[in-house]
Amino acid sequence: MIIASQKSVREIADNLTKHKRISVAGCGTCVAVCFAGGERESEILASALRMFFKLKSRKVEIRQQTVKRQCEWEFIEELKENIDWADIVVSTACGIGVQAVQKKYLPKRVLPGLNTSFMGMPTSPGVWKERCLGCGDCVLDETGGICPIARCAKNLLNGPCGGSQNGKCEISKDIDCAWQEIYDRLKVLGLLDSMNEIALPKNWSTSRDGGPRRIVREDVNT
Amino acid sequence: MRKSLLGSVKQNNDNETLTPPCQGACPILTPVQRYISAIAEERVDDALAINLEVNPFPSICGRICCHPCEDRCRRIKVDEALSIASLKRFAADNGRVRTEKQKTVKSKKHKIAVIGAGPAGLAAANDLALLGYPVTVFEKMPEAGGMLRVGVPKYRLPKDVIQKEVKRIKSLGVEIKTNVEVGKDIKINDLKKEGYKAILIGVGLALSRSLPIEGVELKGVHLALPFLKAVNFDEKVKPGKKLIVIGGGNVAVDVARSARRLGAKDIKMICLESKDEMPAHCWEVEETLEEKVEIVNSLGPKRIIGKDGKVSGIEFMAVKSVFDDFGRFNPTFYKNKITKFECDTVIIAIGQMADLSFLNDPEIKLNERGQLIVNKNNFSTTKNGVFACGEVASGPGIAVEAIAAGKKTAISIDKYLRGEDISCLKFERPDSISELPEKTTELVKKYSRQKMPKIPIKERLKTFSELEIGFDKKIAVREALRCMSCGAGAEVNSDKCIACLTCVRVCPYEVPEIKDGFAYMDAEECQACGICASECPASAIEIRHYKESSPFCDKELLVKGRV
Amino acid sequence: MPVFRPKIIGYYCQYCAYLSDDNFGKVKIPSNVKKCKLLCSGKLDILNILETFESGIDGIFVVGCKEDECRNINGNSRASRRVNYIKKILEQIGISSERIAVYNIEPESLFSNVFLEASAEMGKKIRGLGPIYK
Repeated sequence: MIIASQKSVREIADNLTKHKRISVAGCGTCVAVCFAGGERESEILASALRMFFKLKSRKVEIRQQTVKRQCEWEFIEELKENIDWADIVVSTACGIGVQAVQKKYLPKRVLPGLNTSFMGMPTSPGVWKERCLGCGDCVLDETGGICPIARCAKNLLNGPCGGSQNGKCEISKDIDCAWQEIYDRLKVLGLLDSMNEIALPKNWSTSRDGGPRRIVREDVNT
Repeated sequence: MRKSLLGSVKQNNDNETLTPPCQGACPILTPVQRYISAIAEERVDDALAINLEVNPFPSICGRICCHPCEDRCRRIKVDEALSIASLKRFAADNGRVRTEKQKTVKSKKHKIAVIGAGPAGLAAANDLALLGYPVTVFEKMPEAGGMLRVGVPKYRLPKDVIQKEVKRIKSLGVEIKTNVEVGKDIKINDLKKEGYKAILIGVGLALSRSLPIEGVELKGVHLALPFLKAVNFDEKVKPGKKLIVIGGGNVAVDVARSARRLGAKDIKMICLESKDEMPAHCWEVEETLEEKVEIVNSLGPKRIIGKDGKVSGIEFMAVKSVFDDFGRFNPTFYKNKITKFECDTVIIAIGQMADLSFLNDPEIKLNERGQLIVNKNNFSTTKNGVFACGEVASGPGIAVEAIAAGKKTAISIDKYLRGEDISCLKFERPDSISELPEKTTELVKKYSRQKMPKIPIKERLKTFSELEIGFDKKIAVREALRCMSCGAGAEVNSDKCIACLTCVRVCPYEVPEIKDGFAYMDAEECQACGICASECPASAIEIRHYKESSPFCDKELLVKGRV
Repeated sequence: MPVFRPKIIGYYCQYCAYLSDDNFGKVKIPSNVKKCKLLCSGKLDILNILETFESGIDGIFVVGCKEDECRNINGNSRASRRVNYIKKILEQIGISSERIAVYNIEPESLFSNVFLEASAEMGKKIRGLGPIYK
């Protein structure tokens, strides 16, 4: 799941200098689940913005609408009425949704309401952690199901490094050392021997190396 | 569109509670939760109004109802049942009646006669008056109330409480003719001639049963009802010094405790049943023992012994069994195991039966056991236009059952008088939610039941003034807050649910689960705290609110009347 | 110059905080304070609070049970955390976070004066801050 967090109301409001009608567009999938841009959070943003402008004695109308997913043309079609009405749009979707809405509703301006951060999962209520970098060449089979690319600060394939202290990463005591975790996991799996094998250099051509990526499934493609 | 800004609980009219078990257990389906939540908010007038919508006798039921609602209260599994009846009494004693709501218009021409001013007859009269009918109630006693007035001792139900409720019913335009005995002062067939289009028989069970044993004719042997009637109407009654009450039911208890207050020193209540089989309510038995009445179980009366025409003693046989293999009352005895007691008075309280001597109409048929034949669904007798309800129609029961029957009969009579076919009339009862699951029981916090304050045991025996003092406001509110709001919990709108699992994680009672890809909350488990609803990022959860009406008391039908 | 009477809403948990004032009333809650019952302080809704401020309410307080005394286990601590989140948003848009406060009391305080005291304290504080929108 894509994890994001809301920008500060101030940052968003500062971009809405002379607009009179603002449409706040929520997204009901990943960013709703991580309490950043779903129905409730986008309504909260809309309410906060209304208050902000009221304090400045600016007459601004704000409408709020949430669709299922902003990364599909069909779903963002539902936003048409409110976006046509507005001078400007604030999308509380991830970066993908913002781009899609902006493209569909040109020349209307669409601003991001969130900072899209990573692919991850909630580890406890209210805490989300990064789990995948999307490198395009999965190595989880070799590392006991713990990704060193996403979870090791140095993306090491042959860890741990000297910065591993008492199971924590040297960059912060709040970050677990991924390679310590891999070691413990392989022990549980009875695969500790595989730690002795040297991992060969990774094929990074499947990652950002080749520029923006695409996947085509010929049988589905029309 | 902006939503209501101040509402803390979102209300959605399509979104009603499931029937809570307390309401489901009540014969008149009293919306218990609604009045309890009103008391919790100290809206005492509202609490009374909610009661009066369905029940013309909240003050009475709050005192003497044996509260089947409490037996089904789901708090029993957690700690103890809510004190529902006492809360009703609190509302009735402290709430002010909103008179404007009770005004009626006599919009109907058809006159209706009700025979017997007991709970069944008065409940029917009340609802028929609300429906716009001119109603006359005939009562052979000098005061209305039926068995509540004649049979229930004043320390349980003071006279002025009955009078207050009767006055309210009279204020609806119901005429109550006391000291008029149908069959003697006016013949039942003359009622038709006087223009009554429907007749309701609600005469209850007005005769005490006697025993077919030697010595019942002796001086000093009394029947329960004449004794209680004499006590309740302040006649001079001397219960003797050594009193034996035969019977193990609530009437026997009333007799024994009344006699204690009249100065009888040595009172024994002797019954066929064992301690666990006794038909009297356990709390009544407890209070009886507190008042130093001796209860002797498992003895059946053999003969009453006399001396100079007066009672001097009584012999009992030991009981082998009270009920047969089919659970029917069919006592057997050890004929040779005799226990003898000395006494100067015997009061027989073994049950009541109907006095149907006033029915001299062959069209109103009785069954082979001499009981009135009454259709259980529409309460009509075998004669067109003559109805019967309450104990006379359905046998011994509790007051609120009689009230329920009265209310249903009112609806039946209304339909009959408007020319509708009542042969298929049926009163549906809603299914209520079932028991509290084990898992939830462990998670719900315990709050002990508030105790009903009573006058101290020493003073109690000198007086017929009311034993139970009633809840004060603090007790009542605390007690009301124990209600678990069964069935009024969270509901997921699956169109909006994004299955984010937030509710699953925040619920303190571990209620939500994912079912078919959406969150699902089992109404049996939910405690209606509302935490999930304010946390849901998709705003997909709403809290059900309390049901407004009861099928026996269609507000439109009863308050507005139907023209 | 007319005296500023702040518009205040007091949310209260039904299990602890309600001060009797209708049928038996001796004490009256000031008329500028509106009572609002919550099923549990954990029912406090961030969006609802923001919209309430938006509508021109000058101050809000929430009365809930003391730590560890919540009937629903942790509804009260949730309420406190939500209020902290609301404070953050208020500061971001230039509204004093003092305009919202939580009071925690013993569940046994059902008929205490806490609601009344909170009304007075918040009233004083908000009068100092002035109206939310000038």
